[in-house]
Amino acid sequence: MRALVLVLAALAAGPALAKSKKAPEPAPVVVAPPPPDPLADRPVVGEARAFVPPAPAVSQLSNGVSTWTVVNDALPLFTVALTVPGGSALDPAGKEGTSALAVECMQRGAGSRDAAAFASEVERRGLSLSAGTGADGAYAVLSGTTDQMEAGLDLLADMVMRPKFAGGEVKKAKELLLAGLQSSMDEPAYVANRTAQWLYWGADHPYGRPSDGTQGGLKRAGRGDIKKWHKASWHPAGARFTVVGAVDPAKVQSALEARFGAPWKAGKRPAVVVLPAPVHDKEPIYLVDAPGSSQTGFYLAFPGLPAGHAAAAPTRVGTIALGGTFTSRLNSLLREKRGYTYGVRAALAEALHGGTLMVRTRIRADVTGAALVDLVGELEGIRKGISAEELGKAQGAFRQDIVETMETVSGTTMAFANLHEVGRAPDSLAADLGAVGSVSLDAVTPTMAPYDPSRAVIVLVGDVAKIKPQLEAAGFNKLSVVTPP
Amino acid sequence: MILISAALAADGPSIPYERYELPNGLQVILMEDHRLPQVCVDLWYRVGSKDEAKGRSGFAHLFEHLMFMGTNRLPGSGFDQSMEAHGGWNNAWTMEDATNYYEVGPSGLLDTFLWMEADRMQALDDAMTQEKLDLQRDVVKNERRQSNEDRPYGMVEIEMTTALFPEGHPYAHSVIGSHEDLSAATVSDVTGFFQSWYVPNNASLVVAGDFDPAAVKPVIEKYFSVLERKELPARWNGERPSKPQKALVTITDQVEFPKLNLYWHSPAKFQPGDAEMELVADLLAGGESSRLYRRLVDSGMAQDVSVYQYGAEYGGVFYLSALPMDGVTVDQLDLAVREELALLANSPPTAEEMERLRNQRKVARYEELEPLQNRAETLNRYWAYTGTPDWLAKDIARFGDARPEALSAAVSQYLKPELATKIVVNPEPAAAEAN
Repeated sequence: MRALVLVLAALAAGPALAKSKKAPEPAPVVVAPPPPDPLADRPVVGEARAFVPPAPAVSQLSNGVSTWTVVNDALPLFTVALTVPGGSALDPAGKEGTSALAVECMQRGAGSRDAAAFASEVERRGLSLSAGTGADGAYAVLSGTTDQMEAGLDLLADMVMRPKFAGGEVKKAKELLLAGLQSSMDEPAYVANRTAQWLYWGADHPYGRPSDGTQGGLKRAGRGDIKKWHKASWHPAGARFTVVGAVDPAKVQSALEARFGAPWKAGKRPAVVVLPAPVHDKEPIYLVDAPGSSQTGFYLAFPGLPAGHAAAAPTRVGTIALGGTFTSRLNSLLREKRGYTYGVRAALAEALHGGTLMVRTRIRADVTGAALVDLVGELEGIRKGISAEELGKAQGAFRQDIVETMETVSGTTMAFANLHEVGRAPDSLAADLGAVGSVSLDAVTPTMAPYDPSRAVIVLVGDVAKIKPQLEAAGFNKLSVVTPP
Repeated sequence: MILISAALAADGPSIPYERYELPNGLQVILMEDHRLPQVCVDLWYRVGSKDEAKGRSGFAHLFEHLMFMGTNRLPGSGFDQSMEAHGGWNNAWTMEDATNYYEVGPSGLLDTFLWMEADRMQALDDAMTQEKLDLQRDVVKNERRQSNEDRPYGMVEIEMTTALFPEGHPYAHSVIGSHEDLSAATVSDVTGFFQSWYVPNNASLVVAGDFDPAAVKPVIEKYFSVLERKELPARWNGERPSKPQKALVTITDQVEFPKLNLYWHSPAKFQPGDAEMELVADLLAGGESSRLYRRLVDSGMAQDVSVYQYGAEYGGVFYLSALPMDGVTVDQLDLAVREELALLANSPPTAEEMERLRNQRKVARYEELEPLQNRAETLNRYWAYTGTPDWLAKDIARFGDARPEALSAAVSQYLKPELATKIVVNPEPAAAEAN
């Protein structure tokens, strides 16, 4: 690159020199050389300053609840995340969405306050308090300014231990969730993701069942079901606190102990049996019809790794090289060379009992077939390995991503809560950074083997009448039109 | 020396910085923060979609994409490759008034970031080609499909521009532009736009993060002094509209539910009334204890309601949208909204409501100031709209000083029923039947 710049600079200077040579004046003329171009030379990149992510202070409440605290005192903010195992994996069969309905109702009145009073109390203090659910567990998150933390923890304790589950609120919450689910089906990216998880893991697998429920499941889930789910889920066994902010870890410990130590009664958690993901072999490409779409939503799911797996570091590196940055292989080809898309990304989804490697994009409808040919070609290419340049790029991107995550209290909380939830060690962030930093090229190639299109579940959401002929013309003849769950 | 940016002053957060101007008019703002080993360069150009020529809607944003297509010194994808090789990344955005470019990465990349920005500010046009234009035109059209055409209700913001603003007004077209106008753009348009607007006296450079000001100043001087000051084209100086062009627009979309959208003209960015209208938006829909959430969502009429004030240089837009529950009509939502607005116009917010607004604003402000790039962009935004980066204290004060009566007065003044543009989205018949 630097050589090219020098060559161009020399060419630019050419005509001026030639002209001065032809000048007929007999007297010697001193021709001032053109001023040097201050931008001619690219600066040298300096060494990166050492960076070690913070390690949380670790403690336990008297009932065994594990607590991690990270101090970030740049601004008077705090976030508390509480996770409990189970989540939507505990939804009764046929009542998918029970946990989603329960967490929504936990926020609608608790302790001595009805729904309106509870929301008013949270919001007048400038606090945010919410609860959610996923296939590995459920969570509650509280955040605000540190002067409101004690009051916020009282509200969190009410929400977690003493939700009212008033009949009227359950009815309202259910109607809202049903309408929201119906609206979400207008979103091609949402439909592609939901359908791919369902097909990849299977309809009976906790990772395949939509954690936000189904129309039928939500309708069947009743007040008794959500109370039962709440009782089975929200108790100290397996519960974990992660706290970040301008806080004193000792004071956090005593504030949590007062509310979630002795007062939080023990409970029994049903075992969750999670089967391995089914093996996919030369399955059809699944199409979801969205007539009139000008783009096709792509979602490809490949076999991945569970959280904390020993091979995670080289897999991360390879995935970033494939589609983790702007100049990754997929984005360079499909966006910057072909102009087929606004962007394409590959990423790892790591969960407690398994994971997927996924590729997502939105492609112009009229080039859907050509884009899939390109995509398959890039997947085959990445399985042969990556270059030293790509390795360095992926390592740099991974490091910078962690640096930026540490900028915010909420980002830091989520990063550590995710590790805490799946049972990883408190220094995992630093360990992951070290592991990615020391990945060798040889280690990456074998971990890219799963990016085998014949082992993937491929879902395309688009106008079937437009895209099916293109796919067939491109040699993708095994197609199956499906209805999303 | 260690300076903690966004440190708390006695009366709130502050962003310590140093500012100076190069002889060519480039604003330079330096903000140290050594908490993390990273730097950010944020370069703000005072040119946006409001400065586009007739028949060239979307051009400022298309141009933003072309800024990454290489120069003679750094051809091809060198801009992205050079920083990604060391953990850096970049992005940019375009709005009506401005185009902003930023790079973030390890501290050792700072000189590279500055060199690349100076290089393209000086010589992007020398390397512009039809091929580059055609490629990014395709990418931008894909962005339009993804962000508007194929996004549920995504065409509303495009319809809004002509419904609210008169023809010829700089805001009377969308930032993303039309396919037709994007197709019409030429290489000559690109070089002309570049030479007119991408000049040092139309830009502000923020360097933020883990760096030594004494070391970076000579680098900035060396790279950016090569650029020449130029006379800028005349800015628009027309009359601000006081009423919308259309009272009602109805469109269809592939959606399950209809949607109500209401727009009003409102105060310009950072001008009197802007803070009050932001607080009105929070009062109406900032949480589950807000007035419209209770009236529409909690009552079972709507799935969702959202309200915001968007201030810009030539005037603001106040936006309200609501998605009905099954069986509720858009007109019923509209009626309820107008009743609530009339109520607010006549009875100021309560003390408890004001407490909520103040506390929610405080948290939002702190959270906004956490990321380095946000702080860099905030300094540039203040410079662009107020003439000085030193505006955080005033910005905080304009919200803290707002009285409840002023919120009601703002509603009376700006949100008159007859001054609204209503855009209704109805489900396309096929989607409705399938439902």
